[in-house]
Amino acid sequence: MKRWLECPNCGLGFDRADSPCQRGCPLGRWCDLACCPACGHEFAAPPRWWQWWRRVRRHSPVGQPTGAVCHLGDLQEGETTELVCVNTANEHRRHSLAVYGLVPGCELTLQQKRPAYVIRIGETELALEHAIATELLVRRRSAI
Amino acid sequence: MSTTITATSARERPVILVGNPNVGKSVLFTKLTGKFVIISNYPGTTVEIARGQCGEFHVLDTPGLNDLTPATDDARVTCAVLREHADAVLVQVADAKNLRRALVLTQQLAALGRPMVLVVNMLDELDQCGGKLDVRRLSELLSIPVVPTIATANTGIHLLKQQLEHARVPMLPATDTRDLPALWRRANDIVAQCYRLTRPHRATVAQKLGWWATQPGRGWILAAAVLAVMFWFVGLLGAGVAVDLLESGLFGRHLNPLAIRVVDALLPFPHEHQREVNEVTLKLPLTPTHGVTVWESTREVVSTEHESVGPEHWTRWDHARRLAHDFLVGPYGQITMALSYALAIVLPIVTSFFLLFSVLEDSGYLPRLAVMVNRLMRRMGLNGKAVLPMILGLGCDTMAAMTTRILETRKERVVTTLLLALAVPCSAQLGVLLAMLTRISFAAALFWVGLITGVCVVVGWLAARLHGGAGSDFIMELPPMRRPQWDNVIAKTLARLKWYLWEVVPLFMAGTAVLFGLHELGWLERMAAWTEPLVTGWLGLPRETAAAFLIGFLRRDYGAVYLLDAATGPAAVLTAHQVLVAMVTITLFMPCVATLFMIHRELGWRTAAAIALFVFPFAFFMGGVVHHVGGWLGL
Ligand SMILES: Nc1nc2c(ncn2[C@@H]2O[C@H](COP(=O)(O)OP(=O)(O)OP(=O)(O)O)[C@@H](O)[C@H]2O)c(=O)[nH]1
Ligand SMILES: [Mg+2]
Ligand SMILES: [Zn+2]
Ligand SMILES: [Zn+2]
Repeated sequence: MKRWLECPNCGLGFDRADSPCQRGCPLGRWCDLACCPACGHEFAAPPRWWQWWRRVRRHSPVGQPTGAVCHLGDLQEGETTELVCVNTANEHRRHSLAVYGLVPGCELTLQQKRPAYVIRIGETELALEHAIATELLVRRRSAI
Repeated sequence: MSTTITATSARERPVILVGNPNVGKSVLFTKLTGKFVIISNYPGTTVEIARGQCGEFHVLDTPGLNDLTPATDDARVTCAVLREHADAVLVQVADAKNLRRALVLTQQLAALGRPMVLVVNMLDELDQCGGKLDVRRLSELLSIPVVPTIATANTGIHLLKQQLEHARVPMLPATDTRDLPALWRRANDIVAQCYRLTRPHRATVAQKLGWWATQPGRGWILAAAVLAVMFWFVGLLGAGVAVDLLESGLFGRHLNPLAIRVVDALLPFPHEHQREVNEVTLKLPLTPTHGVTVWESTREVVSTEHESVGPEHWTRWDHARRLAHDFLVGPYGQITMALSYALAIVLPIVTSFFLLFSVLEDSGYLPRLAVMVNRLMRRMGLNGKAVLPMILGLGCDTMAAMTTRILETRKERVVTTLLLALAVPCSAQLGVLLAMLTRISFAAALFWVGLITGVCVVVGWLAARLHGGAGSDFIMELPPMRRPQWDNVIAKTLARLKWYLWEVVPLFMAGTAVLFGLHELGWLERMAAWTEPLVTGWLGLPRETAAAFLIGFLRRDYGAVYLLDAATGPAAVLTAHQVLVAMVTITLFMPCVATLFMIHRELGWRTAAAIALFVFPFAFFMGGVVHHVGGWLGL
């Protein structure tokens, strides 16, 4: 189940499951700390009831905030977005993506999703497989 | 610090061409030195250093690299060369359309503190996509000479030669060259000051084709179309029509009779040649079984078979002359068998194949195929990238064994090499197999394709399991689709043909000599008898084909040509079912000696030996299985 958190440091909205510390944390889902995928800031995830209360107080719509972060896989084919981060503990993979220009803040276009992902970064057309594509967190744009 | 290299100290200086993959380093190398190297439109064409001379400079072409911490063996080769030649001038080649990425590498190279020149190549393509580059400004920003070129059109090469003398160490503020985000930020800053790109809204036909090639539905249609064209061009036109014209027409009708007449005049002994009917048809093939016949003729010609007259009364000289006669023009003669196989069967097949293959390589289609088959390759513990060496293997397994360098882990290299050795037929063999396909039913043809693919998947899966170790991520750059350049296609085809014939003709001659010797000593018959249980019993093939497998040890394609002769030649002895069995066995048969040597060089002798020991029994095992199961299924 998705649980939306907001980073107190940079204001990024993201799913709890995308917190980099979530994978590989020995405490697993009992760990109460969350780590922002964009800026790496670590903070205590507020309890559910508190989030719910804040939403009620603010009258903000329940669900995904606008400008929020999602996986590459959640995008439509043809959408252009900005990369927030490569959410992986695998340094080698992060590096091999970075040499093609996949660094936080770069603009990328999703060309197709099947049979493998094809994205365009500037003039580079890059094919990726699904497992890597889901590690790319991007900021959705409202209108393209 | 900035140093201008004076002309005197530049003498005999090595010049290293470096840059991202597929930016035109090899084209530039050819233009600078006049030496031929393979140029293709995909990243990872060059996997070894090439050296040449340009005036006083010693020029080195290197495999492309994305940054100075290489992940693959080919990029390691480049880094080793950079380390080795500490006094070299670096000529970084950049794709003008993708300057940003080049500048990331420039910053890393700058940290090495070597004199550099930046070549901005492919200006023609930059123009097409509406880009503008301020060369002078870029040169100021980097404080090194920047040379705009269009390598394929020979534009700017002269300027580059001049600027080599003015190479300078770039002056860029020091940064941590491993911090890629920072390097990209700096590259963005530089690009913002000297570069403008307004992308056109309409996509070109080539671009659209490129998109289609990787999509689920259209991609497969395109792949099928490519395969169909290949079957028609190589299997029907090359291995069918051209081989018929050359084998029956040129050799059977003119060269062989001429050779026989000449040899008979030079080495007379009492004998009489039999005569046979020689049929030549020139037809435009439409389907495997139908075609438009353009021209047809039959004629009676002398055959290589002959009957001795009164051999009881022969002198010793007569016997010697007969031996020499048969060595040259007998059924296992150097002219009538070795040369006619090499030049009349293999030559047209590999010519048609290499021609089509070069076009495919230059179009940029091959990496897109990798996207389509990534899932399948994953099953074998590989990823889509491994499809590149496997397709190159269709050209020549030996070269492909070297191209496995573009794969990241040893496990991937070993598994890919095993599959190359086992199941990827090389050009001549493929052409022969495509020609043999015309002899069997469509269902049987599908069965053959499916079986070979299935074997690849199962063996690959098992090998990946047994070898252990990690796979790697599938992250692959797709080159732009381009219209193939005819001069490059022709040059590449000719170079490959030359190299192929150099390798093939001597081996065919040696193989024929071995067969001749065995035949003369009467061992061929005996060996056929020994292998009887295997060839006739287990595979259900006629005894004559034993020689094909014997000779297949020397070269797989030689064995295949032998079988083709038995399947479709003038005296066809194989039934459709036997053709299928023979096809499966010879497809999976031992890789040729040259390939084994290359595997030994690239991966060590243990791997080479293990591969050889596995492949040989496995080929016979599968052939037998097909014989028994196929007979039972009634294919
Ligand atoms: N239009 C155009 N195409 C070019 C130019 N230079 C090179 N090419 C094409 O770019 C492709 C790659 O050229 P190569 O010389 O093989 O590239 P490389 O840098 O050696 O590539 P790797 O060896 O794989 O690293 C080929 O298809 C060339 O025809 C150019 O100036 N203009
Ligand atoms: Mg090259
Ligand atoms: Zn944050
Ligand atoms: Zn004779």
